[in-house]
Amino acid sequence: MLEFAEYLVTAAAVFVLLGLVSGIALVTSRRRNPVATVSVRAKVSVGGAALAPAQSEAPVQAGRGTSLGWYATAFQVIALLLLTAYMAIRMSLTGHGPFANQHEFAVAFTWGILLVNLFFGLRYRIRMLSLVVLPVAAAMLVYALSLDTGVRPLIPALQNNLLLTLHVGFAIIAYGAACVSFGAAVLYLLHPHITRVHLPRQEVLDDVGYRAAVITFPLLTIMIVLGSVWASTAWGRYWGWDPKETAALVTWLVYGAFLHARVVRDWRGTKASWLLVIGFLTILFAYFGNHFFGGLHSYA
Amino acid sequence: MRELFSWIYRVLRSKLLGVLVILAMAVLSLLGTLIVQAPSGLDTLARADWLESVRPRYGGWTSVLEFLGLFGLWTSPLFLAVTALLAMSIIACTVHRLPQLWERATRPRTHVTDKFFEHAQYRAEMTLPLSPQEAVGHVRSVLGGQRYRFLADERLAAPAVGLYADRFRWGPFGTAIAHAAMVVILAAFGVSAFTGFEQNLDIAVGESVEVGHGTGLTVTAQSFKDSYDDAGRPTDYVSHLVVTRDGAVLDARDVRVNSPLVVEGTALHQASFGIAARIRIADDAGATLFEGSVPLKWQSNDGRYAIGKVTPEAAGTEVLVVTPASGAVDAAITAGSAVFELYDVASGEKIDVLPVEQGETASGDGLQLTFEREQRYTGIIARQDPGAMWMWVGSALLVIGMTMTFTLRHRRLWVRAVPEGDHTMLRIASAEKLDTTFERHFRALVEQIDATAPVAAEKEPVDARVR
Repeated sequence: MLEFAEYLVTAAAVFVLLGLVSGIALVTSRRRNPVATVSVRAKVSVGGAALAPAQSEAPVQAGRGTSLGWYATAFQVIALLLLTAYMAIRMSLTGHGPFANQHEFAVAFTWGILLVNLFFGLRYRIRMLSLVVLPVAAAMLVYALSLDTGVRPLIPALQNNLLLTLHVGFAIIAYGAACVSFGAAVLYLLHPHITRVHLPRQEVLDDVGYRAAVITFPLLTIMIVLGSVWASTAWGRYWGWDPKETAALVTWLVYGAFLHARVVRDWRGTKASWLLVIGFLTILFAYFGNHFFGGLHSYA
Repeated sequence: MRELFSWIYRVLRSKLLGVLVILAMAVLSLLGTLIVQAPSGLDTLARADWLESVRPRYGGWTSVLEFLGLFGLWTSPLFLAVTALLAMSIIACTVHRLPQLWERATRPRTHVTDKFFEHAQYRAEMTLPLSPQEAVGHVRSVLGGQRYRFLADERLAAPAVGLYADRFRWGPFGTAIAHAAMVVILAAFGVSAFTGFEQNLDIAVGESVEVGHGTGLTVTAQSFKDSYDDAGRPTDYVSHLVVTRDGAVLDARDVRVNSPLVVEGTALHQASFGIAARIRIADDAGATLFEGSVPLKWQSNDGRYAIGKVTPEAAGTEVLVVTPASGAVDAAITAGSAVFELYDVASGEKIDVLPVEQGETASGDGLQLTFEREQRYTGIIARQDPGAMWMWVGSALLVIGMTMTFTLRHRRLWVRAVPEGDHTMLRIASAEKLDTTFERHFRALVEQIDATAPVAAEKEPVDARVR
């Protein structure tokens, strides 16, 4: 059963790569595709731009571009479903959320990345994010498959199904949103250097990065609070400056600084994008830190 | 003096200072993660030993890091100063911002100039075949469906009609709640640090230990069991504890890592376990100075020996009990035997080394030392933490505040209807910052207002533009 389930992860990795290839093909073919004209009554201008037809949704593309975009999304949906099935199978085998070791968390991390990327892709109609986000997802899956995939009983410290599921569950969505904000920030920073590909407007990328960080920060907060509750139950103190705890705090502080800078200083553009890049690096540091941190979180 | 306080207040409420302090905290926390932190409670000698143990790792930087306090970063003056600065910055910012938020929520500016409708970040206009009153009434019906509230623009001269509309006006108070929560959380750390207690109780199986700290509680470990799977990974640690006061049993149950026993506000957590040496120490006259189990909690640097220590009352001598470590086949002490090492407490000099077999008594430095047997002990942490409650209050406020801040954004619109012939020029504007979510919302509102505008007899909407 478990061996079969691992094929699902491999298949998910393949579909993630197919999604990436479709995304690349979409980008390179976009300039040749005509944009369908949409009949609108009103005209619009936001932020001092010239009058334009008022429309609440983005223009619909016709032809090959639309088809490739559909495939890019469909491949991601299939990868997400495959990972969901894999996680469900592991849950049924272990009786707890599939978050108990680096392999399970890497798969769940990828699941979170795909989920949030699809959400942003559909809500904001920006498929370009996938060009940065999907390579990260694919790398996480390759990493997950390189680890010990066996099912082991939970060590005593982790034997709290409710808090394990909630604490790590919030983390994977927060990390997924952080990856999307990272993708938006990277595209923003690359925007001036990429002339052959039609990227979304920089202010849109800037705003998407902010939106994703707005999801990341509260979820990180809840994740840390739940971790404190768990630490208080299991170890008798809610905070102990354990390296993993501290790494999570660093991540929280970076996103907190980003949001503060954004809201009160109106930090946008390059500075804000670099903060989002740093934020995602601190998340990777906190995640991979289990390999070298030691302390009470060194079991994974 | 007043100018000085005013200047300090201005500095503390500076947003730039807030961001810098947060970033400084992040950098210090990162350093605390990367640099090994010394165990708390070390005396000078033990601290020196610990520094030597990390010197191979940090080389010449060891002394520098020690001088800067980076081996004890969480209690260093630098970290505490940054924490205090953060708390003051949060308080100053919140105090400064609250009146503005209150003013904006309760007494918003309902009147704007005509130029505002030409230069606002978001603006729309459309010509409708309605009177100004009808046009504004229509806008109200659309905005009402989106939970906007309305205030009339009283300063506008007839026949023009104006309106201020907003929704989620209490949302921005979420930032004040979240900032207050941070202060509560920082205060909780202070309460935890300076009140309550944490006591390690190493209890040999079958024996009892007093919790102390005025609780009057005594904990007896009736059993301890550790279980492992086939690969040797631990699957369970469980102690059966009985808590009594003056001989009366208050509670008794199995305690696991995730299932502490809480008695009258004192929580007992399963923390560790190991082997203890049961010994008896008497003076030359035969009076018992110590009788009990000494946990063999430390290991020699080569890993071959397990070591425990005890300082009998009024003896002036520290006694180390040394036995072969579990699985150490090359130890110079045979299994089932032990070595007593005696040290002068004042000078730290070694006084004597006394090998003994199980059940034997050895003499040295005026003491009679008996090694009775080895037995298991369970390590329990007893803790009272009045700060924990404040931590949960602060955490709940933080989550509530953030949820309000990020999901209930205060949205403000100004609407103006001016007659143009037998039609009305309807203008809608907002000064929100550039924001794709609001942009979509604004466009959708304008489209809805345009699309659902009632059509007067023989009057059709002639133009609808957003600009």
